[in-house]
Amino acid sequence: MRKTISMIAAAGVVAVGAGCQSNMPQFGGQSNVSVVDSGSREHLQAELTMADYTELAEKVTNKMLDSSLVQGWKGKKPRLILAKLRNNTDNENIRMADIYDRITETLLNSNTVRLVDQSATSFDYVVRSELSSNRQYGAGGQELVGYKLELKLFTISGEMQGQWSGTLTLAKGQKSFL
Amino acid sequence: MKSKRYALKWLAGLCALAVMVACNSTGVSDPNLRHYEQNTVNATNPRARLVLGSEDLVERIALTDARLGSAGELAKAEVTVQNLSNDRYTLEYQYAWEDKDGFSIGDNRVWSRFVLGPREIKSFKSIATNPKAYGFTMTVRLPDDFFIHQEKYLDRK
Repeated sequence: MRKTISMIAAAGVVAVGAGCQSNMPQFGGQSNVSVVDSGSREHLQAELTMADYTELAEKVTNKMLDSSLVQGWKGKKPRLILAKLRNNTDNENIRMADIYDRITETLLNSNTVRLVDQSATSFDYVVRSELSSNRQYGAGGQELVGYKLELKLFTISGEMQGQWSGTLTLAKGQKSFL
Repeated sequence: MKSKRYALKWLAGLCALAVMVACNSTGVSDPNLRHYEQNTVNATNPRARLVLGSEDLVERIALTDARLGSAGELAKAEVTVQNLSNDRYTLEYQYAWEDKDGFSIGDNRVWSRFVLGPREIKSFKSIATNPKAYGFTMTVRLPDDFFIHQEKYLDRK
């Protein structure tokens, strides 16, 4: 009888352990690679990440959509060409296509404009965009990088009707002493 | 013999209770509830749910004046964040939009970092990515990412 009681008690302890185990976080369980929240803002270098592309592109495009000029279109849905995004930074490896795609996605989802290909002959506006940067270095390995994304809206006749920009600054701290 | 059987039953019941308590440590769920009432959540405006991502921010950071408007066909929202303390805070916020039925819109949400000096007040705007957007949840939290989490874990270890 005593044996039965101790077996039940042991089974209870195992069951409690197993019940809790399912909620235990397992850190780095699969090698040292972890799937992270793609919206989080971790950086290993003072360079743009995918989340930064998203934030910059949405910030500037939303400024454009919120402008009195675009709100004045009121359902007209003009035909718009989004010209190739110019990389005026010191880094040629920035994925300009990802920023471009994010801008087009935001514009299309807004249902405000009709986007036409750059080869189209009939359109109302052209949006020219540019990404630029400046960089400063500190004596102890610090780094400060500023990025600016700019959108400029032109009519067919070349008149600039709107300009919107957004900035993002990354700061890299001093290297650890050891 | 009768008392032994009674003791056995009692022990079995205790074990079952222990298992239930262990498994319930994550809290019960209610499918009809939008969220549980906590001092970190304010949803007095039915279209705006304001969330502080940490108990440490309660009474130090305030989320106020949630306003909703429209940018053409799109809904737009702005919330004011006020630093009630004399400390300097680096924080991050995120807007999550929902349609009228409460379904989430757009899953490419990014946390945006900002700095709030002592007693400073700043406002942060968001424009919905879809004309169906109706309400939003705005969360403000202390910065959190993989490396911050890893550092905390290694420090604890």
